[in-house]
Amino acid sequence: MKVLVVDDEIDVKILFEQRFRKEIKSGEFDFSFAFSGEEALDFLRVQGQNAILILSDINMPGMSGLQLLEKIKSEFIQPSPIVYMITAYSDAANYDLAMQLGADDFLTKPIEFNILKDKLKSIEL
Amino acid sequence: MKQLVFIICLFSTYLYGQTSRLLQIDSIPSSGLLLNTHWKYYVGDDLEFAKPDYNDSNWSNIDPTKELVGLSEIMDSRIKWLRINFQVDSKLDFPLGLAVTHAGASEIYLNGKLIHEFGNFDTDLSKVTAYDPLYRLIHLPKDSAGQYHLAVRYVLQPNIRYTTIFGLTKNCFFHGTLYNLTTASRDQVKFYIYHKGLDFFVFGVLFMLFILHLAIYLYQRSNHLYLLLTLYLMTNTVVRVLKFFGQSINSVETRFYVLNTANWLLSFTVIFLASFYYRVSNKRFDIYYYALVVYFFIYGFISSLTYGLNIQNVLLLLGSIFSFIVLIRLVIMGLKKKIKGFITLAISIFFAILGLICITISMRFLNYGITPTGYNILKHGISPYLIETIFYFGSIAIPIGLSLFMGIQSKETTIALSKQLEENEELKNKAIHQEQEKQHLLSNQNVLLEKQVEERTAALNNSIETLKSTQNQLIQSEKLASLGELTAGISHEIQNPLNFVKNFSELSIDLVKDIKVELEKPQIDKEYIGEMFTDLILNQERIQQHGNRASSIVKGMLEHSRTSKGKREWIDINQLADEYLRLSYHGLRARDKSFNADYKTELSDSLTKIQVIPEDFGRVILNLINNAFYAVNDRKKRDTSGSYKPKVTVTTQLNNKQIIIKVIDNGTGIPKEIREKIFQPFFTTKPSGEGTGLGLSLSHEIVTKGHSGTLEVQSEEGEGTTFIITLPIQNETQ
Repeated sequence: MKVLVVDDEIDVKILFEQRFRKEIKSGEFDFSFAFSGEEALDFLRVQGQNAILILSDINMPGMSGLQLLEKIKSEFIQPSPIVYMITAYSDAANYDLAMQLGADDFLTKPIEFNILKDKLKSIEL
Repeated sequence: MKQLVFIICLFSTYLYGQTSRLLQIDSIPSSGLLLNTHWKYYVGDDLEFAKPDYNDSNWSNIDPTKELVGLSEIMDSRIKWLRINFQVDSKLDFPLGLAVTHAGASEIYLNGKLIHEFGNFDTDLSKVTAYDPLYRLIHLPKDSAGQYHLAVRYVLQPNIRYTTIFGLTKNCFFHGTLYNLTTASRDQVKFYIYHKGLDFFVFGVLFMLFILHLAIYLYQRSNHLYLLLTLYLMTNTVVRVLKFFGQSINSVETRFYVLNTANWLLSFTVIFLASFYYRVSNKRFDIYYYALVVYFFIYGFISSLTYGLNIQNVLLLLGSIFSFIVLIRLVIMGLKKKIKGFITLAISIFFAILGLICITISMRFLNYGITPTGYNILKHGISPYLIETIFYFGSIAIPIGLSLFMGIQSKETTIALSKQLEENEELKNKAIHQEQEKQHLLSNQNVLLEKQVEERTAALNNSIETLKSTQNQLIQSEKLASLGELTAGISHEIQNPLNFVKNFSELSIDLVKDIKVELEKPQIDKEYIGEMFTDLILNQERIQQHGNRASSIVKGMLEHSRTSKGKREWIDINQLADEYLRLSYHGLRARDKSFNADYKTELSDSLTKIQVIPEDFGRVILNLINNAFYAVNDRKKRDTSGSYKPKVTVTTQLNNKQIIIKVIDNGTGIPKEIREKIFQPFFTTKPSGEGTGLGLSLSHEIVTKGHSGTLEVQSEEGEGTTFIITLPIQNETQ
């Protein structure tokens, strides 16, 4: 399962790599990382749409997480990539906006990796 | 001198017939014997007439001692003869002298012999010069019989004028007086000296007074009284001088001019005197004054032209009386008005009148004349010296009285002046007192004013304090406002590291658990364990790093909100810039969901730490970054093309011992017209409630005053704005 994590924090990569060490080793998950909205879009354009996106940050310089979501949902259709929004901003406004824009799930930081792992594993592609 | 001899020796020894014409003289008084009878007169000329035995029985009788004007029959220029015969008693053995005064030219024959000639007698009338011997004594030598046959050949100088003055000079036909030559000469000299002495005395007094008053007038030209007095004294003095010399002039013709001039001046003297009196009486010239002026002018003309009328002396007397009436009237007025010094004037007039009365009575009624000896008046028991003294004293009484009056006036003026001076002094003192009072009042007012100023100053200080406190409150508000803007950013910025801390901690726990499980295995995968340890270490580092990050943010927030202590600390500007950029960004994002902007830092590695007041300087950076984000966001909201990409960049540079921090945005830019105002307090372009208008002004103050740096702005409307902070690097760097 291809998973693209988008976050402007580099440490997110370490975090994911350690958290999913076994899954990565076993080849269950194939994590890729993008540090800005633009990188994410580029990745999608090159690697195809069958990735699960974890937009771990709404607050990113340049293109924000929500903008990226909007872009993905409008640009990449049939099938549109699954997008998980993870953000520190857990307020209703952000949640509503994200869901409106077509987010598939909305998680709040700090990331509960066990939940995330379960959610990812439950996805049936 | 003139004599008007009082005839007392009238020897009534008239002899009838030719022989009875012989005048018998038994005695000759010391005052002389006037020859006014027994004269024979004839118009015609023959030297035979001089002979003693000439028969003159058909000649006319005449009294030749009279003035010419009284003898109209002789007022022509024909040659005339006078004859008289007298016999002197043999007891009178002294030498006989004849004192003569006359107005013509004469040859005097005694017993047929020419014994004297007066003037220039000539049968050619054009050569005749009239001469007045002025009582000159001529010796009459006695013949053996004691008889004297006196004949006078006489002629008047044609076409000349005659005059008189004060009734003193007369123009007699032939005025002869017999004297005892021995005593008469002595008496004549004695009296002459006295008379002339008085003249000199009067002249001297008048002259001195004239000079005195002239001097006073010259230094007091405003006082016209002195002018009048000076003029009066001057004319009076000249009159005296002219009279003095005029009386001694033998030439009848010359005497006329001199004495006539004196007459005219006398008129002026009277006029000046009257003017003076009017002036001191504070009275305007009235009809009397003008009448007096007219009168004396008429007198002047008459005395110049009409000798023949013989009213000159009468006019002068009347004029004098008129003048005195006018003066007395004024003096009485003055006395009534109680004008100081008028009593002096009254006394002087009294003496002047006394002198005039004395001389007039003596001359008119006692027939006093200033004969060679003046002794004729002795017959009445009156001393000629007394008369003379009274008269002369009378004639200077008025000038002296006027001078005394002026003295009194001057004294009064001095008294008035000193009184005035005292009053002035009093006024001055009063003024000084008032001035002092004023000063006192002023000083009081000053004190009051100072007090008021103090009060106002205190009030002002209060206001300033209030203002300061308000300002501080505003600054605090500004801080809080900017902090408020940050709150969301801060929470995000803290949340992120905290998340990492949490995640990495959890990971670490898991890793340790995994290691433990692995170690319990019989076959230990050392490589795996090593990997996990490596991760563990990495995680711990991550935890530490993110913990520090959160701590730093909290610290920055605290610094931002707390009041500046003004204490400088060594600060890494790069770190500061980076932190605040992020804080600002996240803050804005938190507040405005639609906001997004690209931001980046271009920080110089060569930058050293510098000493700044962290809370102040951080606020500057934050403020500038906030503004930059606001500007790009604003532009983005207005952007319709969709191509606009908001971007904020913070750069640091080291340049020639200066740190240059630039906050660059590609926002709306600042219009030129407001660019100069942006550093003014309370200037803001933000909508009401969004900005305090203090941010940039405070930033400017912090940079320039607090850190000796500069804060400049470069902006292009529609292109973006760059704020440039230039900070000097202190010598000591860390």
